[in-house]
Amino acid sequence: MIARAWYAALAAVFIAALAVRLVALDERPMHTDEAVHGVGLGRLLEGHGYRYDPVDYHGPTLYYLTLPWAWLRGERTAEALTEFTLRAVPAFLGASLILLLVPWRKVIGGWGVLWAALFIACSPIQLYYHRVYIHETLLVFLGFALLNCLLSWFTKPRLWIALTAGLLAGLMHATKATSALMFAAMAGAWILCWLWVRLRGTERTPLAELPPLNVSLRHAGWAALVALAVSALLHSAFFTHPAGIMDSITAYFISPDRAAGQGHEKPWYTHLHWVGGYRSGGFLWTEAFLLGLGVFGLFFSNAWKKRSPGLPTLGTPLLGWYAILLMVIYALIPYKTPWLMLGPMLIMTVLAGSGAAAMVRLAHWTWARIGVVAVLLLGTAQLGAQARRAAFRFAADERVPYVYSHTSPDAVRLAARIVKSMDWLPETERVVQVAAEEYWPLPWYLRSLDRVGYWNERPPRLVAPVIVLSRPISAEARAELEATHRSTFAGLRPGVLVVVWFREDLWERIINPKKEEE
Amino acid sequence: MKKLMTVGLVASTLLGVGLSNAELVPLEIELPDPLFIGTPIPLDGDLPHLEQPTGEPRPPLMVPAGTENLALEKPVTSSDDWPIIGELDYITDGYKDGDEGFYVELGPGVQWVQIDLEQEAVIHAIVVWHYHAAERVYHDVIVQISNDPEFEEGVITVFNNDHDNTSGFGAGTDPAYVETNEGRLIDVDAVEGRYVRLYSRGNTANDMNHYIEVEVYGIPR
Repeated sequence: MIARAWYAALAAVFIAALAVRLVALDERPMHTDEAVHGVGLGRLLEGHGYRYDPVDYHGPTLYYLTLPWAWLRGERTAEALTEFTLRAVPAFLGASLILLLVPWRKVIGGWGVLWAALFIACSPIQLYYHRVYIHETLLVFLGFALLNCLLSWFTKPRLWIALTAGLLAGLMHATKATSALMFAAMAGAWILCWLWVRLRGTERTPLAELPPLNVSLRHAGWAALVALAVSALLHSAFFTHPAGIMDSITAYFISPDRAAGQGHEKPWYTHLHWVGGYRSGGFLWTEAFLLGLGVFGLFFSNAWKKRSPGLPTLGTPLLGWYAILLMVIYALIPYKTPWLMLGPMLIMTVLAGSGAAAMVRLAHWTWARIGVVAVLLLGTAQLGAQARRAAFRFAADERVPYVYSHTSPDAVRLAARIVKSMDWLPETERVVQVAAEEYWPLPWYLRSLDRVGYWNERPPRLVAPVIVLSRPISAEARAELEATHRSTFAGLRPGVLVVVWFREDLWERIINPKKEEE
Repeated sequence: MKKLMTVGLVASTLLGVGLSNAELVPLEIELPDPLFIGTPIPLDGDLPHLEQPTGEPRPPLMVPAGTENLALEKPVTSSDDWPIIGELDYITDGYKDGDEGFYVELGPGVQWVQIDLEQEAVIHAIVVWHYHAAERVYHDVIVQISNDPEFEEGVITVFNNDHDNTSGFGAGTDPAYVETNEGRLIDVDAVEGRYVRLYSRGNTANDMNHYIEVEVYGIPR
């Protein structure tokens, strides 16, 4: 294929993928995690700084990455921040995964990369999470960039590549503590590839092409140093909070507890169920097409030939082992959320590109090739149709496997009603009390109000004109509040209802909107 | 319109008096299997407008002998002519399972379904199953009966739990409720009409409106 046409085709897929990731970004309600990150970024924007908390939060990379983008958009306060600003960051990173495919041309071929790019653009799990402001897309992006570095370094060992790998590893660690699992899977994948080459007795082993041990160790040492420095710099908020460095280590003593489940315990096969074939409420969600093509791509790669032409062909089994090990690790850990599959599925999608190219290559006759291409395009269209449904119309619908404990549209309406009701009050009375075991994402939606108090249990006095309570706290306070307030309810997310008490005068204006207009 | 409503109400009352002498029997409703067990946790009186499932079987409703489900296999129309999932005729097909393939899903916001009983009848009860595979509450459930297919004249509202008037039909006083396999039994005081219209405005889990089955119990005129 002519290089210029190839780059143009890849750029076209990238632009299309970016466009579909950026459209209508503000329509889906904010997931609890997104709301937490949005409020955290808001504090950073307003000059309150950043303090790493290893118990309930991830690292700061996502915030620091979003900060200049928010400035560029002229958003300097939490109130000014928008869903678009937040979600555009993972959307851009997600689409950019397509650009990271370029070095893999040597491994899976030009057509393999183009198919993989198309699959990344259309994959439901990729599209869905690239539009969600959580750490996973950033982590997966950095992880894939690190794989690129490893591939480049093993092909041509250069110090600057090792330093870049260190930078990426440090950024990964400062993004999410689970990056350690990815490092383990990468190391395991390389060891398995090495063993496989040794056992097969290929004449030109990749080991023979490795640089001398002293060079390798020197490069590894520099990479580790850079990784540690970057991680320390970010966890300590640029050395303004040195305790964050130690906390980034103690996080691993908390993580085992989190890995045990903490309410997210699921059977070992859950991730495969979510992506392989998930039937719910009249829909069937499946990326089995990509999984199948990925396995095909793995077995029909050049690397299986007896005379391996060199390191680049090891890329396919390296990817395969990495995906398999990562899936095994996630299967063994009881804690399971659907976004954890974003990384392994990306790798399977790249392998699927390789599989699609191999399939076309294996069809010798013209008509057979046309038939194979038609089937592949149909499969892609089926993925695209699912992705469109998941990312747009059903983006907050619990029947989609990627919609996990998601905020219901009810919560957004509730918050809008609370904010509107504040306009009916004099400045001094604009107070909201929120007392519930689970109240997120309300702090995000109520961020325009100055005086909102949050409690996890019943506060000593409930006197605000608007009071949001969990069901148990509301039951306790009902007798007291009924004298002055009227209540309604809303679903924060499936199975979580909150009760909202509006003072009588506000209630009257709510139920008589025409009177209000007059 | 007021006049028509008054005539309707007087006729209903007279009919009701006539029927009060008729033999009353418990209304037998065939229930589907429950799909979620254990939740919700009943919290006595925690929400003034939300009725909690008691976990106990619903007490029987007494209706005149000869009362039958007049909605079975009757035509259904809707504000959403192109349901997202399922077909409108699921609503009167007699199948009430909560699994997929048994419910119709209408678009977001205020939506209605309307059943044409194909004859005027004296209605004593309406039972509606929206969706009972998960714990959720449907907003602004409003049920009306009329002889006018456009629901512009002679409309009688027999249930309205839109307590804050978000749907704009006026604030209702009936309680909201958590969906279960028992459905919602609406006790109708011998109201005459040929058409039954049911409104809803999404639910606490998502914006969509669902119907598994609607049964309209009455006696044809």
